[in-house]
Amino acid sequence: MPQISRRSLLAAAAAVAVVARPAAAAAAASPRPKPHAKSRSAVRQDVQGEQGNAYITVSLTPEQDVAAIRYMIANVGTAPDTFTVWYSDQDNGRQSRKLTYSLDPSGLASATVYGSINHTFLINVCQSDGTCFTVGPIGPAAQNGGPARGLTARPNQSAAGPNIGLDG
Amino acid sequence: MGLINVTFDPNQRFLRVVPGGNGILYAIQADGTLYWYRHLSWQTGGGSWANNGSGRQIGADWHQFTTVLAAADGQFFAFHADGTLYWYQYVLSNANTGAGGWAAKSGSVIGSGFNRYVRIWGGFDNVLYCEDANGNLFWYRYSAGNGSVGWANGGNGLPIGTGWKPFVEVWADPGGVVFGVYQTGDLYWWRRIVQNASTGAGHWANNGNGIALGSGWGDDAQRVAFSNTSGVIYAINLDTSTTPATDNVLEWYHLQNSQNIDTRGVSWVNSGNEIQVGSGFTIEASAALQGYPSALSTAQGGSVGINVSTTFSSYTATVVRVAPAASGPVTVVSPTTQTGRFQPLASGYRSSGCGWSADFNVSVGSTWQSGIYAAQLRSPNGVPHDVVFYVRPAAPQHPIAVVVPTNTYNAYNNWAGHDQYTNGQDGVQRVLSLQRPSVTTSLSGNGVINHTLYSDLFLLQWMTSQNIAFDCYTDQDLDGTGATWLPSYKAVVVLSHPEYWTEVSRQNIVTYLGNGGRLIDTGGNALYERVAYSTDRTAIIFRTPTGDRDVFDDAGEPTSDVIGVDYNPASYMDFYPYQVQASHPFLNGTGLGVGGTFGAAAYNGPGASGWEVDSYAGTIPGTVVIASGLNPNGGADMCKVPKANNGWVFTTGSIAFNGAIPNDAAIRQILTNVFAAAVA
Repeated sequence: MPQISRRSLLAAAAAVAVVARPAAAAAAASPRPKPHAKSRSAVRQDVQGEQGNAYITVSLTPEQDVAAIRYMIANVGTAPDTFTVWYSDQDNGRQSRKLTYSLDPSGLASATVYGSINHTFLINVCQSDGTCFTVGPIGPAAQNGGPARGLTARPNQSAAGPNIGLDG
Repeated sequence: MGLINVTFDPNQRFLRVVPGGNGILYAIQADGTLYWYRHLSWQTGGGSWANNGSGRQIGADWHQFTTVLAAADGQFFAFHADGTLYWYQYVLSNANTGAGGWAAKSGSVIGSGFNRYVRIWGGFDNVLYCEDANGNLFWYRYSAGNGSVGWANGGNGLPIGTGWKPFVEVWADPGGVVFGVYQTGDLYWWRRIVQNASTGAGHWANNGNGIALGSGWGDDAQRVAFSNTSGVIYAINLDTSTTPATDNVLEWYHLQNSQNIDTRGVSWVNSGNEIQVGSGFTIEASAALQGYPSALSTAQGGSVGINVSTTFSSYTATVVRVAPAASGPVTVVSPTTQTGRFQPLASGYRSSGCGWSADFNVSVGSTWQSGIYAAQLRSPNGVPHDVVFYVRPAAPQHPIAVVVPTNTYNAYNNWAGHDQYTNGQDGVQRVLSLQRPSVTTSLSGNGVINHTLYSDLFLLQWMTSQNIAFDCYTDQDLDGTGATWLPSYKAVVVLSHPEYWTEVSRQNIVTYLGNGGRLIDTGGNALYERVAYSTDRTAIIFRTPTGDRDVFDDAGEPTSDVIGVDYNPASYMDFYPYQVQASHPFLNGTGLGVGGTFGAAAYNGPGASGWEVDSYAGTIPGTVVIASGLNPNGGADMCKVPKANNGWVFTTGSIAFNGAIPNDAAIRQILTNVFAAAVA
């Protein structure tokens, strides 16, 4: 069965124009002007998972008084499918509102949801056939070793200037 | 323009950096000197700069302007605080060295009245995007282009948009491209396609829907960011060291196809990761005139020093009472002229304080009303800076005490770049001095959503208009002496975002409520996080020793134990009206019944339940949930929570609530009922 590769999926994500109202929108594409702050070394910032037609990548970053959980879900199958996504807060047992996406093959959707700072989350994904899987944990209690995508690129220039100390 | 003595602090060398297109950057030094730089490899992100990166001095006295924009042909649009617009043009004779001269009509006045706008950006193509205090956007285009007076659309601003307040940073590229950083740090793109250059008539690409470009932008990561033609974006990065060093690194990004990403998609060079292209760009917008009070609060009859550093030779100072005041500030000390002096920053200024001495002292009269005051500093051409201080009563005088959330003001005060929320400083506590200028105590709207002093003034001005008298204290007063004065008050009021409390302050309120006190909480994210004061009480210590957020709930002290509600992060930055859940005397006179809605318009968004909200925890018997925000992920719960000895808590549960007071008669009536009950 032909499937789009993970690499092409991520490339597609970088190219897609996500049109949504600002509060809910989030592009999978960078830039990340700076790696998001890690509150401690064990924070796992990015996870992904797949099962059946669903592929999901999730990142968590602290934003003022919330943990911003950004995810992108893709239909990597060959037929349209419907996916339901929500998080479970591992510290207090609360669940977020379930959001549903109907996606064509190679279709993408993204969203940002918010949870409590200092908390750890599991991301739940269910498909229309009733099969579900979980991604994570993501957050302070998760194990270290998350992928470094987007976190390791560093300046590749030995900047020569401006040496503005010369003119002061 | 004549030169003045060069006086600036290397940690805050520039007031602003103005993009001039095709790699040109104009940098305005704190003393007003204007420098020309050109990033020669601006198209590739290389490290090549004209003059080996040495700035070419091309002007002086540019610190007199409050906003400076530029086009790609050397034209400048420089605004005085009074709204007068001046035109300049620097005509290059050598684009590789910056050699050139000023056009003959430089310095001409080409417009006035721009002080009706609170935020102005753009400049490329001579287009100015002007935002009013309500977040409405107007388009202007300077058509003459030569120092004469000539404007498209007859000089009338053309309305082209609404709802810009949630975008904390905005800038523009040529061709109608506009970038905006949303409160969440997400970067968006728009493009306005002008079809008639004479009138400005046109339309927005993508039906005006912003296209998300990325995340992680904004003042938690950067001092400033701006585009500089062709989708090239520069940012001055914040240092993320455990003890932040100087923020001076200039980073480069390139958004390809920046004119038409709506049809060709989002594509960043280098996968959107930054490339460092320069250093030395330290920046602080207030560095030409800034100050702070010697003490946060002063008792009636006392004195407070106003510590000022300025690169102007003189300035005026007017002392005003900000609250109580039914509308604008009330002058209590007429303007005086002060000799300006520059004071360098002391080592460790972010945590230990600037170390400046007082330029003058304000003698607080024994008859001055307890409240919020400001020393309003103005440069000769009106560059403003307000130094806010608080006057507490010599002894309790009124039935109501207002506790101003000065801990929150300090937590979000990113003057000098770093606050409780900036990226970095992993694994350590954050110590933020109170002895530094503040960017969170603005007395007027700046075109951006607000949860600090400006938001709080909506309530305090309404209270004054209703003759509801109050005494005023700071968070630090609640910690230091609250146990002695709290028993004197029938009610205590906390404002829009009373987030940070010490253990002592929390216990003082618990004791007060247990003894029959009433707490009126008009905010959201209340009583959320624990802080401490430094030994000398000139700084606030945030976070645990391991650098984690010190949330009361995580420490086994839920917010709801005290006020009945807990923070609900799921509804961050959602704004919705309230809906009545139960009949209650607090609704008398509103005409509202169960199911009725109110609070559909507020300063910060389309609903009084929003930004950060607190929801009923269900743990205190007898609590009445009077109304709930209709936010899909759970709204603010307006509750009356019973306490011992006839005490109670009224909570609105929303940061956005106070901003709805001018807009909503039902909210004003509810507050009238609450305050009447509180002092009954």
